[in-house]
Amino acid sequence: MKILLLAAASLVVQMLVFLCLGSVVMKVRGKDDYSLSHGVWIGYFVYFGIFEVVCLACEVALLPLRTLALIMAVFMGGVILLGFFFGYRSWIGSMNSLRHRMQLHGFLLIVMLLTLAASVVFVLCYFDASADSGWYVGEASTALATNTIGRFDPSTGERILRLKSRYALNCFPYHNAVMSSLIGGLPVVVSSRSVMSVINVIMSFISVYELGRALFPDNERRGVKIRSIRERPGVYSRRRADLFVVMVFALNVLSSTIYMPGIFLFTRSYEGKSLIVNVAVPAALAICASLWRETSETPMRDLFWIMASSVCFSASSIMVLALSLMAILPVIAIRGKWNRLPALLLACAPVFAWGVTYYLIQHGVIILRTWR
Amino acid sequence: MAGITIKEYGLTFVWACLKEYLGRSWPILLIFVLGCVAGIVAAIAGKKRDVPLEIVDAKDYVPGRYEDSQLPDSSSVTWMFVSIVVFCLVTVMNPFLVRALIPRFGMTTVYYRFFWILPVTFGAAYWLTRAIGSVRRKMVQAIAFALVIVAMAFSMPINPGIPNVRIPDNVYKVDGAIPVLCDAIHQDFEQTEQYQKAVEKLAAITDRTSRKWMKWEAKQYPLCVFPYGIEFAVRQYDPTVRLLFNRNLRLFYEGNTSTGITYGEKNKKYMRRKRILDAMYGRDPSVTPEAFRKAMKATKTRYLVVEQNLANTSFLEESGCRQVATVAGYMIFRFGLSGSEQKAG
Repeated sequence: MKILLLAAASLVVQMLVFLCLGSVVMKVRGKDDYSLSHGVWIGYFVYFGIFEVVCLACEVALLPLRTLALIMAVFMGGVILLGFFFGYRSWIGSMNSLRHRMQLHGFLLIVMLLTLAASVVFVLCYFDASADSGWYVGEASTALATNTIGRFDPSTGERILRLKSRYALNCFPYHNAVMSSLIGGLPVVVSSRSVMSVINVIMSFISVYELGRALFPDNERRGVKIRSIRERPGVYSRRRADLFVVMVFALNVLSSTIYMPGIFLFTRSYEGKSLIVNVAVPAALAICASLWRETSETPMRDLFWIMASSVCFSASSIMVLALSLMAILPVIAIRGKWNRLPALLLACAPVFAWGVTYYLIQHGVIILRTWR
Repeated sequence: MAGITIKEYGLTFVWACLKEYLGRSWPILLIFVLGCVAGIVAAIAGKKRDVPLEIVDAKDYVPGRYEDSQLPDSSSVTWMFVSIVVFCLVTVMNPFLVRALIPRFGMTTVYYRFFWILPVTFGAAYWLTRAIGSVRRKMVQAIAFALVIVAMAFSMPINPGIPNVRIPDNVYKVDGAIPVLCDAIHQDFEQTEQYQKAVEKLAAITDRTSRKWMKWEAKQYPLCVFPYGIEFAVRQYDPTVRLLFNRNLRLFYEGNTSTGITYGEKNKKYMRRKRILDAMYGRDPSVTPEAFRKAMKATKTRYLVVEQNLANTSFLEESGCRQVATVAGYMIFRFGLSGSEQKAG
């Protein structure tokens, strides 16, 4: 029972950190169209982008995990304070308009929330003893037990004398070790396989919802006669996005192979690979769609954080880079908006930086020893 | 992807991988392709609609945005999907490039991840949503939605993870035997000289960044072999147990070649470990007690955990293993450790 309460506390704290961070970022950007889900979504990417940099620095400097946990605790505390300071008005506004916004969604919102609830229950119940789960969760549990970052092999417990580029550069698993270190008494295996799974599934749904909003913007209804009062502004995009989320859920349920996104979402939601295909890819696609549809003023800033967090999640972040380049370069070329090219390259910088570092480590130019 | 190599498939590698990737869910690709074709036809043949002024909520109004610009219509999404597909076909799914580059980057086994770039699932969902959304009457829309779901459920198999879900019997979501096995091993190991020596050595080392500290940090934990069914969950629950087999070695021993790594008879590291598992389960009668003991000493393995009904007990005891406990249907054997109790006696 104590572990369940700690797990619930960890879930609430992490979601609060993402919300506060997202609120701060949106406040800094001066965005008016505030929404809680969008705030959490942005905060999630920004958090893992920052975590990657801090954790990697600690890993290379051979600092103990507890030092990293302390740094992140200070960061999270600061973010929560700033978030409350900057965001409380927006939160109150969101809560006051909750009924109005639910009316804009309509009945489909209930269907969408039911599919989300079903997915959450599923990932909470599902367990297996796969080799990959042993690696991902083992990485976090080993870090916590030895109070080190990446210096022991997660699958055997033996010391590692040199960091391997394939695993050492993607720090996502250590976030669970940090959370377990901060919330004393919460086992890493629970933090990774239950708490993080639930968070990741929620983020996946929000990412798909954001993609739906980008694919079906309200301006698509321009010029169409309004037939009833229920078709007021904001209804179209929300209802189509809700239906889109339900459709993606249905297709994920019917993904028949171990390679498709569905199996990663439901059975491997705590792995970085799953976050690439189910959170980062739809998020990047949403940015691309908003560029094609010209519904977003400055989408590259969001793309930067999606790329940065992808590097944290997995080495498969190159898929997010490839997708973004394949979708954005043509729109830049077709519409002749070459002034967007520097912003695109800057947004892709985290994955480029990761790629260069990976190559240099792989070819022995950089040697990252785990001892002095 | 397991069993699909560029050496064997050559230029058809990408096609073979795509078939393996989709399996019986190919209707998702069909929906995506048909949707893109319909979108292209509509974009080319469709009439451009005049965009009259619209009524905008005051708080949503952005000066200049509505009056001056012709915002792209839904065909822009079609072109986005098409551009991704074309780019993929020219680059990461170009059979000639793939044949030349993918083995060089060691990505043959993980090539399936390139299919994540193709927005097949999201694209199919987009076209289905657009099709259902185009129905005006709410009731007909609901019926169309239900029919689409039923048709998909009949034409495609369910996600293989879903039938395997069951309520976990503990909060850690690991096999219930693992906590008791780990406890029993620790209880026994903490009585041994190796553990006490490691603790003493660690207490004397102040620099936690040294190689020496790492060595003794590892040595204070027992080195074990667990049955395949629970091995990968052991260190998730208890990282203070060391395992003899790493992930790739164990998978290969059990006949799983999805990692693309193989170990031959010349690989001493693998052969020693194989000998131990062969002996534990009596799989290879040619393994002698001496060869087993040699492998155990060379690898410094301390504990063997075997299913009670599968254990090669007489061989293990004859080879110098001592049965420590039988818990949760598993037998725990200890090898080559002297306990402090024995020492005192």
